[in-house]
Amino acid sequence: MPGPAQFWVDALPALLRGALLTLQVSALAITLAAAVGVGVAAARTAPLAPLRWLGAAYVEVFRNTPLLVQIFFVFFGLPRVGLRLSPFQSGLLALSLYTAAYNAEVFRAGLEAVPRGLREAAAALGLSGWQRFRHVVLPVAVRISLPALGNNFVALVKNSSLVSAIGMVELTFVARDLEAWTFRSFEVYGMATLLYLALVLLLVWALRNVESRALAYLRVRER
Amino acid sequence: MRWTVVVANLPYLLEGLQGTVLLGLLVMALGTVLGFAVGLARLGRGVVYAAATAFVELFRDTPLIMQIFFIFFGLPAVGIRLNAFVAASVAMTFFAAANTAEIVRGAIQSLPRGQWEAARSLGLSSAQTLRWVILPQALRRTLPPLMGLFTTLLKDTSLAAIVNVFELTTAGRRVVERTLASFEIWLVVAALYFLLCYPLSVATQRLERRLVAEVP
Amino acid sequence: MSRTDPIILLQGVHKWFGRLHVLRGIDLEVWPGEVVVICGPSGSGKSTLIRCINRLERHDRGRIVVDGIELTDDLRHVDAVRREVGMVFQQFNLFPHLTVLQNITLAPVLVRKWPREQAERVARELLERVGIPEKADSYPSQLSGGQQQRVAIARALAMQPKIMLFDEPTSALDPEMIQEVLDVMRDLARRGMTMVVVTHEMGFAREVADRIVFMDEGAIVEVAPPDTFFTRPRHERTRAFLSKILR
Repeated sequence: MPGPAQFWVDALPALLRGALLTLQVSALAITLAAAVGVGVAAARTAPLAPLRWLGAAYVEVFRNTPLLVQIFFVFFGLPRVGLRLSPFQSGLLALSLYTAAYNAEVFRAGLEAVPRGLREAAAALGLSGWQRFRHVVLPVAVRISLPALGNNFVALVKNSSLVSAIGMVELTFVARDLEAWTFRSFEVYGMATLLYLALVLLLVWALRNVESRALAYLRVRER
Repeated sequence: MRWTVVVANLPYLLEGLQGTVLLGLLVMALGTVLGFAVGLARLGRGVVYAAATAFVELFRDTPLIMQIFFIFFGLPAVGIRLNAFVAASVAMTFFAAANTAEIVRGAIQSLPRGQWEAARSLGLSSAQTLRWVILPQALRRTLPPLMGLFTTLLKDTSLAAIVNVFELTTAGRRVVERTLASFEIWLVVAALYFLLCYPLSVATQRLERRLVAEVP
Repeated sequence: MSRTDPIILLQGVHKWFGRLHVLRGIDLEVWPGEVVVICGPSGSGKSTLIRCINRLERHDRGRIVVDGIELTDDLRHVDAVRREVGMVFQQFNLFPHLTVLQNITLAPVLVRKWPREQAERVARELLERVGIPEKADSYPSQLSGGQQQRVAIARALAMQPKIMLFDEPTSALDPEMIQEVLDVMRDLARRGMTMVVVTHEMGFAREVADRIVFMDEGAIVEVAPPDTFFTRPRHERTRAFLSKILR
């Protein structure tokens, strides 16, 4: 059995690469989730009742079933109806659809939080409905939503650990793999846990920074 | 679609569902008690505060599956050998506790500072203020998020399947292995979780609306 | 429309909020260049009244004609009216994600289709006129309440409206900032703008208004020029109101 130093020399780079893969898949998934989330939020506020119902159903289904089961359904279940996706594709799809449901709620809340007075001022200036939405309502709603979206991103990074269950390579998968041939479960899982902790704390710090910079001027003066 | 397979295995899946609910209740009960203690500890200072904060950060900022792996696979190396059920339960309890602590802290902080100030200026000590003024009010505000946490925990019990603890997802896996009806079975498993969690979500939203309406 | 036609005409206007009868048969004419101040206790319907003029509220019965255009459900009429009517709100309602300059140029560029340079030129002139040209590139949250309201006035003026509506423009301001806003409004009146102002600032009304309209419980109780309104009010309710707000 190699000595402790040798173990860390081998293990740490592998784990760090796993952490990088976790970040990459999370970044990809959050982008897809944002796009789908906007679509679902739009459906939920659409004038057509069937669309509203579909949007609401999407959110309720994806938020009230476990992510792991969704992942299993995509990877194991869909091939039986002809859609065979790789572990990477399955994991990405499941993560994105799951997070999109939470994003849709964030966008909906953000739109509702736009103060009525701003919409009225835009209307009083003569802007059309579409102009009001594009130039006033949407930009303000997006900025209001940013903190909650950031939280969803952090949750996504943690949730990405589940895709290891179908063989997709990221930090958890690398950890399990390492543990399998080094048997140093304590060190490997301990280190992987700490890496996740570091990732999350770093992300939270970075997001807080971006938020305070982007939103500093947005504070509406309270009277 | 082999729906007959589903019907034939439904009793087994329902047993799994029972396992899910029992595990969820156990973890929620233990976790909230521990969580309240940790949450109150975070109102203090020094070592107590630091330890409580470290606990909360560790179990909120890391994936639950990693926590399960560490406790189940990693601890034996330092002599703590737990079976899968206990390991998963311990991890989920700590996870629940950390989240409960945050909910408690949030509820206490959401009360207007004026409540503290009025109580203290009347001569009550910190402990008395907490016991008679702050906590009674804060407790009501913890109810909707705690219900949300319970719903989340019910879903997260699915992770115990990865270490073969018997609950709904494990049951689903075993049935799929036997019958290969992966599409039908996973769909039904998802539906069972939905039937469990959706009513809870609706009840949580209703409770939230009622509480918001009452608080000035 | 001849020069002696009223620029705002309300005939038999009623409005209900659910069961609440908020406007009870309002008849009012405003002539070009006039400054009309509307006052009255809270709940009298004064805000609702002016918000009906630019269709932020929809009247249920009666006619409202603004600048020759009748206000109906036809969106083209509504848009046409809003282009000619500017509004200043109690809560300013500046767009927080845009700079002061962008706030002012947004509507002229999008609605009147002006080129950006023209809009910016006009915007800077207006900022000069309301006294804060140096704030063009600041964000609303960096300005005081009085400055924000002056920007709001400039924003409405940038559309070159024929009528300006003011809905309690100084009610949300700290006392020391009220005068700077009233000064801008006074200047506007001097230049001949048609103004309808809902306010509690009786000093301003006495100085600047051509007519004062007193409303109570959804109806117009009394209309008079300032000298008679304050010294010889005809109705008991007017007298009661005046005794409460004037010391």
